[in-house]
Amino acid sequence: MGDGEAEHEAGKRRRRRVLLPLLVGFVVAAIAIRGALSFFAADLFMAAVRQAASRGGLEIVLEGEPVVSASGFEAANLTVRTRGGDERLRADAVSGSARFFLHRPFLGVSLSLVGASATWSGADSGDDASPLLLPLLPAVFSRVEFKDARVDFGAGRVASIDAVVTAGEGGSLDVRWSRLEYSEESGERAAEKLAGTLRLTAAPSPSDVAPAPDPPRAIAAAKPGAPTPATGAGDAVAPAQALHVELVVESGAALVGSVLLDFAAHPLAASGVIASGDKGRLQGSDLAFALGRLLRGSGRVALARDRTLETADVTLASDDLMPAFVTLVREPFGGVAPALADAVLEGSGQVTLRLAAASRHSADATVSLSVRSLRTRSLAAESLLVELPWIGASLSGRAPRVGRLRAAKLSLLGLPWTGVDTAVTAAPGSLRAKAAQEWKAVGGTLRISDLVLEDDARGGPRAAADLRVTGFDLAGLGDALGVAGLAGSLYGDLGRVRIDADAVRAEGALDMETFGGSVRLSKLVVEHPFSRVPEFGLDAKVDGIDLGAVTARLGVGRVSGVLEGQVTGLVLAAGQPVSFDADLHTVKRRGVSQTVDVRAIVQLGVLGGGDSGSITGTLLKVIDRYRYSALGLRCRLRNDVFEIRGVETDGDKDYIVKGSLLPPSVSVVSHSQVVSFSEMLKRVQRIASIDEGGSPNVPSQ
Amino acid sequence: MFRPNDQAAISPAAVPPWRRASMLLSSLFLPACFAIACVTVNIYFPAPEVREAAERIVDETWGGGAAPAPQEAPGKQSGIAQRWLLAAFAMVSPREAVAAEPDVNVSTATIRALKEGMKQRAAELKPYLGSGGVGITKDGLLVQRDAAGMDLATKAKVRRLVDAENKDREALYREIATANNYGAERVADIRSIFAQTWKDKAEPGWWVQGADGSWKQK
Repeated sequence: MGDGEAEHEAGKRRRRRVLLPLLVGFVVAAIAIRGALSFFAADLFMAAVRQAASRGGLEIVLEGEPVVSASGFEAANLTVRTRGGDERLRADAVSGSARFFLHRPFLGVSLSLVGASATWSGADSGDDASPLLLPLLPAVFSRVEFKDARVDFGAGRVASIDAVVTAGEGGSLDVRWSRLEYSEESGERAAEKLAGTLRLTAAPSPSDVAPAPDPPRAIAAAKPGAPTPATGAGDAVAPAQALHVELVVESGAALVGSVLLDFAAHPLAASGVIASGDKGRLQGSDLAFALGRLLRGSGRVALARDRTLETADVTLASDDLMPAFVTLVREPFGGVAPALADAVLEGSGQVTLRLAAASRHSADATVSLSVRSLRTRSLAAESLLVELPWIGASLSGRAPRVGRLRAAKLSLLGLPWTGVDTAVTAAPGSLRAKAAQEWKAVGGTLRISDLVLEDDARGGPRAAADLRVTGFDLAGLGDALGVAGLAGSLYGDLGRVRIDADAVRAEGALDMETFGGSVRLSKLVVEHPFSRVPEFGLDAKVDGIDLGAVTARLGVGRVSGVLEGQVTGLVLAAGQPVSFDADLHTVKRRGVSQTVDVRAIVQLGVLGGGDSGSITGTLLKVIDRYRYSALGLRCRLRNDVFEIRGVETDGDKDYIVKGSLLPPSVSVVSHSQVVSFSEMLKRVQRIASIDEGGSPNVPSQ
Repeated sequence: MFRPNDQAAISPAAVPPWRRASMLLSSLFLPACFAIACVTVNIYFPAPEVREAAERIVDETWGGGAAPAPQEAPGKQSGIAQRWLLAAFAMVSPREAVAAEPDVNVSTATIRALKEGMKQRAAELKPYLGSGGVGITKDGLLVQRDAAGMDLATKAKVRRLVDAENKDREALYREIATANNYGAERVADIRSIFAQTWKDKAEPGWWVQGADGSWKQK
């Protein structure tokens, strides 16, 4: 080893002797500092939190000292109260870790809370700082991370969240949550896997919101550099301030009632200024939102103490109505309102709504729709332009407004009508067509006059109009409605027709001139028109109907004669009769023969309960037509039981056909007067199968 | 001194005022008693028959279930008592009164349409009734009970099914009242009878709400 090498070794030893103690000292110092910081962390935290809370009008109460270690801390029974003593937030146990780092102005604190669970009681109180409590955090911490934090809002409402809250530039508070779940025991509202961001920034208060004592101080405390407001019960109330809110929900889903919103398909972006006002109100102004392409809106709202809508001035719009209609109307309510089940609404629309109080009767609204196509089971329209104003009944001082309703093509109940074009006038509580309308279809005209839609405190929404029908071709009407065998014309004055949620009722009547006679339809009603099974009711008076023409048209056995009688209390549902009383019988007219052919005899016999084979066996096949003196049925249907009587009763025998005195004559006698509805259906099916010779084409069931 | 056997000898002028008042009261009281005794019962609600009809309808829509729990004795006695009263009434009443014999054959076109919808819906609802996601309330309606394990799309579907089912049930009770001329005021009675039947016919494992609001698994 040379001198140089020896000197080098000596230098190394000297450096080691110096560096090693320095290194050890540094490590010891670091451990000591960290320990000291940890040792004082709890006190530092609590002092800072309490001070910030105090500035926000809140009080932090911690039962027992928090346990702080190098790996984290634990605290128990943490309570947040207002200065008045009302409890807002209670956490039985809070645990997590804190990390200190250099941060402007000198030291930053990052807090991580894992599995924190708290009970929130502020939401029910109304006059609290609960919606604006969050800005407290950046006054104390630079970053707060929640993992599986759970908040119980009471009454079965629970939320859990994974989120990071950071203090942003300019006093903003940024929240990014990767998971937010919310559920209510009632199932009324729920949210699942919501992810998004929320930015809160202190904003000037809207001028129309009264100063609130608590939240502004919390916000002021959150704002770096802001002067510390005075504290204490006797302090002057600080000017009201508010939060500017920017919300984005990028994924997840929410259920509100029956409406399911998929934010992955329709992300929500919303912004606005929120401030708490007097009497626990919450005011939202400069609001704007877009729910994907479904819906967008803007305006301002005020929520009452219980967070129900109090006043509103909003505009909602959609450039593509169909997805909005499907998501917000058809899917949620198609099950209980079958008319919506397969409805189509294509186009664009806008609704403006001003609500002066928590009642629809205080609403001032305008509905503007430009619909390419509207289709429901009973109504279809194309090129529909709607500009409908509405003034609530309680806004009695408002001047009337004019709107318009126009449709190039209209189909109602399967009938193609000529277009509609009418001006309407809105007055408080009513919307009235300015002029009578005449709709034309199948050769006739439907005149609609004095059409009015009303809604006020005396009754629910209802409509009424005077309807008059002239010259409808019954064959065309039958084709459109799927009723075969109609012929003649339809006319009549339906009088005042009233529509409400329970029924559609007509005061007047319709007349059919058909088969050489007439049928008057009165007491026309549709019960439960918007339910799954609406019921149609009417009375019918039959006069002078040529049975020969009827039977020829229907393709059944031929009967000649004149039919009269009436059907009362007829109720139809799901295409079947529910109940009726009928008395239909022939009347003798000079010059009109009364004959019945073999096929008709067999069909009437089957209707009366006979067997087609046995009936034909008793007839003389060489004779085509038999004479009768009276023919008819008296029927009653109640509770699915038919009671069938003939034109004449003799003991247990009922004559459906009473033979004439002169041969060849025939009588058809029924012995089974009471049959079930299902049996009557079978009889009708058997009747349809009987051929010209009176024999069945298919075996009887 | 007044004695009963002196009554015929007493002239009207000699009748003391308190006696005249008593006679007047008697003359009013007896006809009043007679009038009260002549009870006219215009409405008869055949609870046992409606119960039988309810059981049939529940069987048809839910495809039959567990055997119904035995009815409480008072209800049964009430039914028997009503039948006896009816029989006695029929013996002394004209033919029109006998025609009021209850016949709750609840099958009209409306009821059939409602039952068909409920039957189709039952196949969709039964898995959720079995899992506890849907329960039967004390009013015999369905309610979303425990949504644990359901995603939101399923919750929405179940809610819509429950809403539609409850609406049809209310329409069914209303239609039964209409078809049998019971009047709208009897819808509540029909609902109550059906409520018990829905609960009785619930399958094992389904959740049913008791009268006190608590839930029990059948």
